[in-house]
Amino acid sequence: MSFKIVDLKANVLDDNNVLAANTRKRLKEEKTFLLNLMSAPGSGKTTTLTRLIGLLKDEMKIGVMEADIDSDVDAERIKAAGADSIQLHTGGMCHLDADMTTQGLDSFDSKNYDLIVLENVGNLVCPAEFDTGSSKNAMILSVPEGDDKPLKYPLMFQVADVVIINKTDVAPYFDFDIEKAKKNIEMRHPGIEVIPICAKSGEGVDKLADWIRENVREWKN
Amino acid sequence: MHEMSYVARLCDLAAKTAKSEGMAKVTAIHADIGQMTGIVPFYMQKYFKTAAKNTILSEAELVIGIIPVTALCNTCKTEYTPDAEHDYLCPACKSGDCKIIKGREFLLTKVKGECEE
Repeated sequence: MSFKIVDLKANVLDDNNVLAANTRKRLKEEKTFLLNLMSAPGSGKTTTLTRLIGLLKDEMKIGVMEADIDSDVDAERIKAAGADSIQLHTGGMCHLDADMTTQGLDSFDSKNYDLIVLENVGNLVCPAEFDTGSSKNAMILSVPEGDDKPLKYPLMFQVADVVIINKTDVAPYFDFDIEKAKKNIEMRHPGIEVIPICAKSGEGVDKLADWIRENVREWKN
Repeated sequence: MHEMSYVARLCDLAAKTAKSEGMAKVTAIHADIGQMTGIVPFYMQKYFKTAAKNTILSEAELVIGIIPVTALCNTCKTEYTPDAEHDYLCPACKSGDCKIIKGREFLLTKVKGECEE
């Protein structure tokens, strides 16, 4: 019997990071823009998406991958809005990783799409830590959650490429100060674009659609 | 929150390393966890016992080290640990424009074990 000590510096998440990088490369070649949409539960991800699909469906082919623990409610709403949708049943996982995302893209035939939106599990902690292979990350902060949210979930705001503030219509009832929220977001991620919207009425969603148009165009170049 | 999936990945990597080094039994593994990963050591330990059961790691101890968050200020190039006292800004120039250079790691740093021969 002999004893052995191996010293190493192995990144435990390396398999995920490698797969995510490969998926991103594949999507670039396929000219398919993958948007990873993250937020807390109930922030209006699906309502925002149905609005966006309404504005964009005539100019680009859109697919949505819905991550939900066990229901088809959101997928049905997306289909009704005019985009293709598949449901990724995460079976209790609190986030999507590159593996699940890639499986979803495979079952979708991703090359036929200009834009695929990955509707991540409603959660502000875990999804921020796992690279899914997306082209860009968007996060929704809804007014009832409070303007101090960026201070509580710093990593989510750092990995995001755009922050959408939703439910602006109810800001007066929740003492939500949009300028303060913007300042808190800026503190976490200097220079990031912030787009206030009201998904229910559609106000501001056109600016979000512009952001997507521009990014899809850049991705295809 | 997702410690089980982290633990599963950690155990896979440690078991692979042990086998490729010819170990018959692992006695300890060391992992370094960045403070900004949101991984809770208490739950890592709790799930490790389950994940290690019936594997080469079944008798191994899990030793966890913590890597503090370090930010590099893009404005004045100061390295600092962001804290609530300074609103997580650079203590030297008060800028929030920084790059996180340490604190998001999750590393397997040591595998100790016994070889048969």
